[in-house]
Amino acid sequence: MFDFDRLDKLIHEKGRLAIMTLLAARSGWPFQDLKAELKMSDGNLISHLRALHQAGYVAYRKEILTRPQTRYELTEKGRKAFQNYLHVLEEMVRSTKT
Amino acid sequence: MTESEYAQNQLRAIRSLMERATVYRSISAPTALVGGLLSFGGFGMAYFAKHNRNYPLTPGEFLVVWLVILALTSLANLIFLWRGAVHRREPLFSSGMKCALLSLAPAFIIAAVLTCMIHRPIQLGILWITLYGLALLATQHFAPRSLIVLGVTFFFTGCILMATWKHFFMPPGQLDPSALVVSGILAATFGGFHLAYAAAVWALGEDRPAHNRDREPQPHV
Repeated sequence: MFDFDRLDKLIHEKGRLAIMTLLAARSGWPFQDLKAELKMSDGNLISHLRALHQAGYVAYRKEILTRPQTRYELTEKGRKAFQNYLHVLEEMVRSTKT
Repeated sequence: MTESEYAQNQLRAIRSLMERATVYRSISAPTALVGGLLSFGGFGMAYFAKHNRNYPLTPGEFLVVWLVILALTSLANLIFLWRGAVHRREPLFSSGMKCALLSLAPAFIIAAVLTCMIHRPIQLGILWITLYGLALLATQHFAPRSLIVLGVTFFFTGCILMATWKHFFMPPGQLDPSALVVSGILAATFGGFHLAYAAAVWALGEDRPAHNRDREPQPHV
């Protein structure tokens, strides 16, 4: 039986996993791009980003181009946590095949 | 659902989301507009040669005209992609661009080799249309939907032209359609299709990043 506790509970939630995936695929996502890609409400996306930021997985910076915007990216800790999450999933697949 | 199936589903969802996040548009809408207009300009030159100069473009002149159009359009594409990369704060030769170049290269190399070997404008024109469609289709795993539709349109148009050009474009008593007719075909495809593509991209708002469309709520984190 596989130990599900090895999966990072913070990342395992569907919305947060989607956010971590996008940030791992490309760095520096503006808030509105994340929202458009994930089709989440403002409040939902903000609360997930806040949780990830408090865990040290996500960093953000505010900037002004044509209008103020906030860009999000994975921290080193967040990238390692995401890679670890993927390794655990791969182990789950491997463990049942062997 | 077993643990393995669950894990596989999770990994599949992650992969699919990552692929969506790395969509790369190798031909921007402004480039398509420039290329489309230049293609009609190429047809205009062929028309001018036939009716004002009193003899049509020779195969050599035809080749030069369309290679110049290709060079100018490629230059415009490079400039627009560079501007887009600066705006997104990404390097010009991003992983997306490298992937696009590697995917486009085989069809473009074949087109270049065949262009050196073939001298009949009608054959060249149809090959360019077909191979350009193939090149665009080679980027389908990371290209936006509109670019895939453009590739499909070019590819099937080329295939149809290969099979039918002798019935529709062959003047009686001559071996080949004139450079004017071939330029017309190229203007209709490289010109018309690219203008339609640019219009579709702008109409659908595909070229605008989401952060330019909506305001950001405050506060964030």
